[in-house]
Amino acid sequence: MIALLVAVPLAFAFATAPYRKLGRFVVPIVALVNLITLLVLGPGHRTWLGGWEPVYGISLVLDNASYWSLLLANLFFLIVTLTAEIGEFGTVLLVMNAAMNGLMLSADFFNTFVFLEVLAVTAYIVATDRNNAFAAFKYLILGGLGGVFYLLGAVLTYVGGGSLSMVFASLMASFGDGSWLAYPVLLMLLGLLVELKVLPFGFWAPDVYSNGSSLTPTVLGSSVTLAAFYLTARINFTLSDFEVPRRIIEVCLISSVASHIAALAQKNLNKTLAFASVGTTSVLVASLLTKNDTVVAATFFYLLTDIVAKFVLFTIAAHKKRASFTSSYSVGVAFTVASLSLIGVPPLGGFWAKFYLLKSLFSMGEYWIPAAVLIGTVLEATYLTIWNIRMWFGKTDASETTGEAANVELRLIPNLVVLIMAFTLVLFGVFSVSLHAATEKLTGFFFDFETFKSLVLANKGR
Amino acid sequence: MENEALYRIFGWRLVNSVNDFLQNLSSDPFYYLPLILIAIGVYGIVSQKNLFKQLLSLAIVDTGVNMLIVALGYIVNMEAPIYSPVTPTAKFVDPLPQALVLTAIVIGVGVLALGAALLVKVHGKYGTLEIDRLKLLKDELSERELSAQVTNDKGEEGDVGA
Repeated sequence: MIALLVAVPLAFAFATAPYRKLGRFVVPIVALVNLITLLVLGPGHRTWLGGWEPVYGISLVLDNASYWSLLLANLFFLIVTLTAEIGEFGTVLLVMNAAMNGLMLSADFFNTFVFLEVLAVTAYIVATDRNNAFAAFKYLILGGLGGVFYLLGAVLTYVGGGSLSMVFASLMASFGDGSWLAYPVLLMLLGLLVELKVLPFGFWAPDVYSNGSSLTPTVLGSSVTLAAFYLTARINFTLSDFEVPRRIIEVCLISSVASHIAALAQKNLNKTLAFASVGTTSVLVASLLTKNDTVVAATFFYLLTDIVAKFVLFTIAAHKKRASFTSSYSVGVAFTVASLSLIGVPPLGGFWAKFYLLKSLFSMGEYWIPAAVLIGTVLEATYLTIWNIRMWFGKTDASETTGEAANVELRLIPNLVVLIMAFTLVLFGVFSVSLHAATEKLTGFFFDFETFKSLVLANKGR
Repeated sequence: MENEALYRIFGWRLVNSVNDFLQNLSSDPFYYLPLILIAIGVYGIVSQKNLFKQLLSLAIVDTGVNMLIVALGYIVNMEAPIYSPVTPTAKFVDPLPQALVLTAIVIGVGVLALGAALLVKVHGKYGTLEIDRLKLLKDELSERELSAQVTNDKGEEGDVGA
């Protein structure tokens, strides 16, 4: 049954391929069907494709970690497809949805490579929105190189452990000293850093995210980023014998600070948000790689608030006509709430995200990541305040030249969704304790190797 | 000395596995050509100023990696993994890497085809594939689009006023 999460979007992608304009109406429906399928199924399922058992065959697993991650990713996907201007990307988005679901269901290194590549190819195509082929090409080159690293890592896991199954690789590593895992996991991690847009691997991101489209930054920054985070967490926590080199964490921190400084220097809102997105993701990857459960729980909390806030900001930025909020106060309020949450102003969700992250990092004796978070916060506060003043009082990059200011124009549904998402940030703040408890539970699922193992290897297929 | 240098570069405790890997590399000539190809490809991506040459460099990296994967499955004095009257018993090299490479080749071709299609689009828009020229043209184009949009906005406002 869980294969339906891949098969349904893929079937509709083929069905809508001859009718490009039909795709845009089908995508939200398929995302909704995925959500309903997940809610009906619940966690605790797995499929051995072709009846081949693990070691020999490919397993799709819906354990608690993949279940909740899939729910979130598909929910964000639904919201994006309802809000963004999909245009003729409907079919591509359906393939992206299938790849994203497949990636999160796979318990096999090579299968994750295949789905990662399909996801990347669809992301390259989505990146061409607004005639942005040059940036999409940059993404393709770096993504292609990242894919090659990931493939090499996957194959070296097979060479070292004798299987492409994540569970078996982990078991094999636990029998010996596990040192053979170092190369494969490092290579896979380098491949994933491209998708996670950590500089220098993520040099593609600023140009792609700032293309002015309402689709590209929102879909890449929400569902695709969530899928990449999921895979990074799954690999790192399943192969627990692998110790992440400190150098990788340091690269992430440098990437974060450099991106926030670059964001400060930008004169274009889309570009500012693109660099801000790279900066936050980099620091979150560094936190994730600490493999400390309380830090990882806070990282997931932060990731959620960041995705919601960036969604609001990118959607509004895509609809502004070099503009101000003078006649669209509701959009302006949403923009300001999202900005304040990103900065970390209480009582919004962003404040609690930073609070829990800093608290957990200090308690584990880590000081460099908090330093990067705090520097990032100061820089974020500076450029987001500047942009809020510009947007409210009409002093944008273009209006500085012309002395004119047009208004932000949002259709009813995007306007409504943006307001709801901004309100969600307030709710995240109000119910921060419950949300933090939920992310702690999610982290527990990722670290629960025994349940994952028993589900993959259980005798009866369901 | 070598260990210390490796430790400084990677900053982790698994130096022994690095050494083992390097020793295997030096004793096994099958890895040489793929690794040289990967190095050439990566150098090409970093150094080339033409987008098409960068795409070709990615193709070279792909080829190198695929050859390396097949080489990893090679066992000395074993046959190709095909059952036949000549090879009735399974004295084969590892067939799995070859199967993986088939999939990787298909994905690689798809990515390269998409890359070529993107380059056609880039050339259609800017008339060149040279990165230095592209950056200049991109800046010029965005400035021109901005001023054109500003003129349009003024015109629209004027029309409304009229």
